[in-house]
Amino acid sequence: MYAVEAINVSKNFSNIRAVEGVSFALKQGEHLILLGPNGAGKSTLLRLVSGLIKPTAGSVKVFGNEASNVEETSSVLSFVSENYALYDNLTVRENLLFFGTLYGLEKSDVLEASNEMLGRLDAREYLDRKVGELSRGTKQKIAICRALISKPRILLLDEPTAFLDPYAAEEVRRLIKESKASILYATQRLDELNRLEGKIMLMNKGRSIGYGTLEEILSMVKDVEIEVTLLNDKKIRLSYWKARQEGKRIVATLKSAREIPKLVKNIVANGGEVVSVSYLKESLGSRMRGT
Amino acid sequence: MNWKKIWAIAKKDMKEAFSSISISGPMVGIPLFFAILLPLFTFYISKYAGTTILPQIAGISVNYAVGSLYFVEFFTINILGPIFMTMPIITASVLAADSFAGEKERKTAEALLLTPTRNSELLLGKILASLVPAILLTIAVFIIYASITNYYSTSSYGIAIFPNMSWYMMLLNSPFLALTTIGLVVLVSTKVKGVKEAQQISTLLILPLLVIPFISIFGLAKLTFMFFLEMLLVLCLISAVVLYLSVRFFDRERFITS
Repeated sequence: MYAVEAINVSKNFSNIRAVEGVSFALKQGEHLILLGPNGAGKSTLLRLVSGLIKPTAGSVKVFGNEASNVEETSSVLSFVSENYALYDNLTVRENLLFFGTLYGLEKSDVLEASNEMLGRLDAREYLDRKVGELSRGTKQKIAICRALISKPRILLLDEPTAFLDPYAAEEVRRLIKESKASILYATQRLDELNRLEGKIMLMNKGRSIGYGTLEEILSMVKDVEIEVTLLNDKKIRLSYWKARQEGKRIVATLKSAREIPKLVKNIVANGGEVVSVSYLKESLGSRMRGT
Repeated sequence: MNWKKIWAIAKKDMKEAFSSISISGPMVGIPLFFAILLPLFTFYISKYAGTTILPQIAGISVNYAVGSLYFVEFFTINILGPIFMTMPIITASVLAADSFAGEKERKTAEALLLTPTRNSELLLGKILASLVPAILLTIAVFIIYASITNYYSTSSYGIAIFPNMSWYMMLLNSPFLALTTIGLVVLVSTKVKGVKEAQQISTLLILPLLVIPFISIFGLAKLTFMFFLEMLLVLCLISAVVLYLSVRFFDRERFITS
């Protein structure tokens, strides 16, 4: 039995088709990354799996039950939405205890799990602060903690690291991996793909336009803008590339993500000492833009 | 039914409401204002304005009307009574609108609706969060109002006006007025976008109550024990129907997407 199974699922809001004919299946412990720009239908697909909204056509099943039967499926599922969904007038502790109670957890278990997770996310000091006083990044950490305390078998994550610093983002990825849950992870950032495990579904305008491994998806990625940081500001010859050097930084626009290793080799061959390579901007070319 | 979950929802909602001054301020302030102002107003009219008003509305002689205990009784039951009965509606509408439409407005509804909580538990928790403070506030305001009124009536006429049967009946009506209001908010919560809309719709329930003083003044009905008993029975029926419909037609998807 699949943890999550979507069969030709579509969702309309009035005249807007938010999701159209999407299918996938996720076994227990597997991860699926939903990649696409704003308005691609990623969040709607997550909400369909959560059961919060019902499909206009097709079906979504969670461990064999219709996802829309929330009273049955909600005990195995946690959702971190893009707006955190925490109560601003309550403290972090009160928020976590409230949700813990609704998941049938004991107070001591909630506090123990929260202490451990918030400690790892460097947010334990905020336990007695009102959520409304916290930064977006800290709220995101609390929302992730809330989602994980019930030890869900399915985790639905909508841009869970959007406002986190790199250290916290890495810790979040470690936490969700340790949860051993089946994960649906929505993101619009290509650089996240390198840091996550699992298959990738490329989405645009509500449709699945590609499905595969990281390598397969990267071959679809066009017009990648990357930044290469060098150890020193030695001038590098980059005539073949669409690139410019500003001191220790080289900003290059590549036709495909697959060209990144070639560019790095070229820089090294020209005497450059590469410290890091990071994505600045990327698009999925014509596929992503739907042209 | 898991009462632990129900109380957790109720406690959370009450805590949220009372920690926000924009909600707790008017909710406590307005009834208290009326509780203190209305009895003072009654005695002002009884002593100074009764000569012109009461003979017209109650059909009694000026001599009998001026400064009479009868006037105070008539005014506290027939005029102020129905106004007093708007308190549970105002309080319940503020709390219920925040509890239901507020979750939607603050975008916290998704996380709550995804917890393993049955619709009945969710709604009961939220209904209690609005009902309990509404009743307690109504009783508190009644006690303050009655105490001030009794202070003046005993010092002026040597007799305490409260408690009396009509007022007991008005108090008995209060929970059902609050329940009807809450049920209406639940019903409209899937249609409205925010707290203000929900409050505006639910406070429409005040209008029929404001008609009651005129019914009395024009002699169409006497606000006796029987009148309030009949009102209680009708309200029981209405609140039961509204609550049944609100629970029956509560739809999680429509609640978050409307």
